[in-house]
Amino acid sequence: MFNVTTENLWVLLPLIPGLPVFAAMLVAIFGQRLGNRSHYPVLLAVGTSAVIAILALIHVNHAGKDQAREAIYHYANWFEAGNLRVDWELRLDALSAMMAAMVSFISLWIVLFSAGYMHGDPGYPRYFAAVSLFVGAMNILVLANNLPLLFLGWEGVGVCSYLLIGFWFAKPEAAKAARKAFLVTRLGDVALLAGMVLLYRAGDPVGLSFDTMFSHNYDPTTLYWALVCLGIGAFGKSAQFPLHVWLPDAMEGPTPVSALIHAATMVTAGVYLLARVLPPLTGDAVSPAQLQAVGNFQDIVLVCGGVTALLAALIALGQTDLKRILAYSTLSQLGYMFMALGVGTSSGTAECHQLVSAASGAAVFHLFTHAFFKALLFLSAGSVMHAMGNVLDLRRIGGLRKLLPITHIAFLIGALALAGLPPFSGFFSKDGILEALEQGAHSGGERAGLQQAMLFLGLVTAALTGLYTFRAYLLAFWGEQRVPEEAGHHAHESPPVMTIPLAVLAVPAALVGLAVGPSHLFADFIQSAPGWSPAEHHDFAWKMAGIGLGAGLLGITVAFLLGDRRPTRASNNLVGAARSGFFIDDVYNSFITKPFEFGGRLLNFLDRELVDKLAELFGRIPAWMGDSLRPLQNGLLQYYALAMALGLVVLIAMFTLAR
Amino acid sequence: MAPPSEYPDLSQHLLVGAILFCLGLVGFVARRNLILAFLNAELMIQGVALNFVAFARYRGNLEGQSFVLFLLTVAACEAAIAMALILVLYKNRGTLDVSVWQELREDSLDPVVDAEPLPLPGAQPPMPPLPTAGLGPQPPEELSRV
Amino acid sequence: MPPSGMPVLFAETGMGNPWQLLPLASVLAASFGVFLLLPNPRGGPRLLGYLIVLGALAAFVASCCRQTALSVELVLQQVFSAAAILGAVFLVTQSNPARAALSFTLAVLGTSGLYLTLGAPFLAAANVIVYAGAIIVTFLFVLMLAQQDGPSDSSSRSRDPFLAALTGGLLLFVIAHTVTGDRARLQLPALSSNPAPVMPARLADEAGARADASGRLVIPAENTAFLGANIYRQFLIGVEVAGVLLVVATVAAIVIAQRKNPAVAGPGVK
Repeated sequence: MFNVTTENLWVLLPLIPGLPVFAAMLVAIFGQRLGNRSHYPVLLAVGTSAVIAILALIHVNHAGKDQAREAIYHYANWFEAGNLRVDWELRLDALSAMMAAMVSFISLWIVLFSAGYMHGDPGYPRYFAAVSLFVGAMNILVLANNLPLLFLGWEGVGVCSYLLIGFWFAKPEAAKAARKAFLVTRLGDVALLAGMVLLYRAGDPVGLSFDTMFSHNYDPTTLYWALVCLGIGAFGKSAQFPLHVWLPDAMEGPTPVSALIHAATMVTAGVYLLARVLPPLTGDAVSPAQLQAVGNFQDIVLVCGGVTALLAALIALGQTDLKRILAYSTLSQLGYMFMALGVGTSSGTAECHQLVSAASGAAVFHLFTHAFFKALLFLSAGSVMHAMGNVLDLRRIGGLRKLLPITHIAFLIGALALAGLPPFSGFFSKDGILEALEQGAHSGGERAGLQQAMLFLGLVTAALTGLYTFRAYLLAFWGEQRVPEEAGHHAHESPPVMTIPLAVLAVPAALVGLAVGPSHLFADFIQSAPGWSPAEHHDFAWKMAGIGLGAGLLGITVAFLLGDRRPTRASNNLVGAARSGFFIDDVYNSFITKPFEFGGRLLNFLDRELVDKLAELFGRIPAWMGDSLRPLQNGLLQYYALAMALGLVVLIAMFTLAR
Repeated sequence: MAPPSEYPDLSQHLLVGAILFCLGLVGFVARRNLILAFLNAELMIQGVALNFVAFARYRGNLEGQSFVLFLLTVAACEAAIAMALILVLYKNRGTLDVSVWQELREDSLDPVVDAEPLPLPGAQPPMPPLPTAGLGPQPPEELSRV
Repeated sequence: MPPSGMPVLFAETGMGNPWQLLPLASVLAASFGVFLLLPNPRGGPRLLGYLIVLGALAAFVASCCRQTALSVELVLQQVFSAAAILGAVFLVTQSNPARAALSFTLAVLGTSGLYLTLGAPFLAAANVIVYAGAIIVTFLFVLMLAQQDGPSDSSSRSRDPFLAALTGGLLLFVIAHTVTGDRARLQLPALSSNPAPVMPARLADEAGARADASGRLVIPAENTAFLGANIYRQFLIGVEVAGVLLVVATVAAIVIAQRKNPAVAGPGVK
């Protein structure tokens, strides 16, 4: 096996983002000629970077258990401005290695799935170019050693998600959804920039590199506001309340795009950012004021995460489109992750550091498992869509378990993981989050009450999760077999190019939790990153696990009981409200979108009437001058002679009369 | 006031030349008869020649007079060719009016036309009454005088 | 290059004497009179026009006589100048083309007289012969061939009389101001302005300008001989070229005015 050492990682590490970006450029330039073969360069590139990332992960794991596992690879200077110096630096530690490996691995199977799903689409090369660029940008994001470079990747994934959501741009809803996604995350991006600036001010003159950033004290007020801005950026990208409105509409893009971007990778960028930043800020030798500031920020994160989790679960109950249900469940699970990131305590520095590290570790673990099972769920939904002729309305399809056996099994595994049933991975990761919340509720000091409330919210959401997940599963795969007319001759199992990724992803969705959860392998690994407190090995908290499991099972039971009954007249309004996302979209529409559109139309009118007419006026001046001088050429000889004589008079007068 | 000089000043001759030149210019620009326009051009040449001769007198050499000799020669040639051309133009359009020749104007402009009507020629004189027998009739009055 | 600044008229005169405005006033009046007199289909105040023009002419003659002692030469000069100017005015303002042509004859006679007073007898004769004798006769012939009777577009109308009179007046004013203005300011070379009358001289002293006892410049009395010597010695090539020009003009006039008769024209002409 190729030996990965620290020396040749200097060359290999930039290949992880570099190869997919290069493949994207290749497909973009030669796409016309490649045509249906456009997926080959991308597969090759993403596959290679996945292999390198996994090897790097193994390397980090073996690199000595007692020293801080961190390697910085410096390439060149990007820019210097005053005291700030930003370089092209990549960072390899536990967190970034895990993220890179996960992103590359899942992307590889999703690209393979897309080759089958997007077969025959006229924009085939464009799709693969955008997907490849996306994978490259995401890798830059997770491997960056400083905030500006992370921002580069952040923006890159934003652009690619715009390109991919609006892939079928001729469809107005898709174009609108792409714009909406881009603009809402843009809000977050602006906040992220502001947060970077504030962070620099707070820790002046430290700089923005992760390796030097966290080793000393920050000014508490500025730090608080810096974190708030970073948090808004994270909320935008990870679609937390109130910036969550773009994610459900983003389902207009192709299903593999939804799997890649909105389940496994892009939306996790916010979680990654906060996980990167929070634990080191609560590290040793930190002033109580700073701790207080971080704690205040975490309150915001906690509340937003909890609200998102519950709200999304409620909305998912009212949806009839399978992809929308999955989208809202993504929102809900992201809410869980943010809830975990918000866990902390106000009593004592070391305790806080320990608690925050553990909770962040739980959040990252849930991110890890969620990536697998959510991608699996989206891909199986894609498989169903492919078979049903792009119809995913649960009222029109049903009883597909005989028709699409492999898809059925895959979906079932994903649903079980999502609902949190053992021994599937979701159980362990969700349990980790609930455990962290409980610990926060016990030893949180001043923050205990809030964390207790959030724990309760988390349990309720767990029940709702089981409910909507299994309702969807039952409606789609059980009951009488209903196939819509659009299916035509497609109503059979997908080709192997699509079912193999399903199978491959099903394995970690099912087993990875069991493999690395209870044995504390994951926690040890992640919490060995510099700035984190090492993991403590508790006994498995059977009580919390049991309560969580009970909530999930309760939800599943209610789903079985409900079957496929239509909502009653009494609950019609509620369901309708849920279906429309509790009117949040409409509020944004009237208070934000419409005024801006009006402003835009006004400016367009002014531009056309005023500015263009002014420019036109300038253009008309030569013509006008010509028109006014033309009557001089009237063809009469004596007129010309007169003009000459007058000119002569003026000339002589100029020379002789002027003093 | 200075005592009057014995001889006229040069500037007086120059002024007469200038007056002739300017009158010729006015006539050339204003008259619509081809022949009369050309005559006015000849008048301008007269003014110029007067200038030359005056300068010759007052500078005491004959250069100016030599030049006027050549000027006379050239004016004669010019008159000959101009008359020939005017004849051709007259044959082309049937009138000596300069204003019929407007083809050099801009495409988008309309030709310049006269607005005021010409005065009508006088009414035909009535037939002369027959005189008493034995006397011859009076010859009719001539309409054009030269 | 003219110095910068607003044009200052009559700067050298100091405006103390209202007589200094007379030249300007007379020029303006004369041009107005000419404007009134130019052919007009509606007819116009011709009497008023003539009065104005005659008044301006009188003012001009008077101003010329004011600074010079009365002598035969002065009287002759003024008479001939007046004749030339009157002939010119009539040429410009008569609507009948034949009358206008004959007024031109008067003008030519006036300038010929002026040549005489300026010591150019040969030119005086040549002027009368060539202009009044040849050119005007040619014109009258063509008029006879081409002219219609009575009022017509070509004789009764003027093209832009106002602008024409204005331009003429402006040009005259500018030239007059140049000619009579302050010599030093206009940077004109110093000129001896006190000519001597024509003095006889001998043929031997023909080179260049000669001065008499008091230093005044003179021109020779044997005008024709000296003129001939001048042109055949200094301007010989010009003489030859003028001869060629005359031949060419003759041929050209014949060719241009030739009637395009198929029986008469050569094989190359359609």
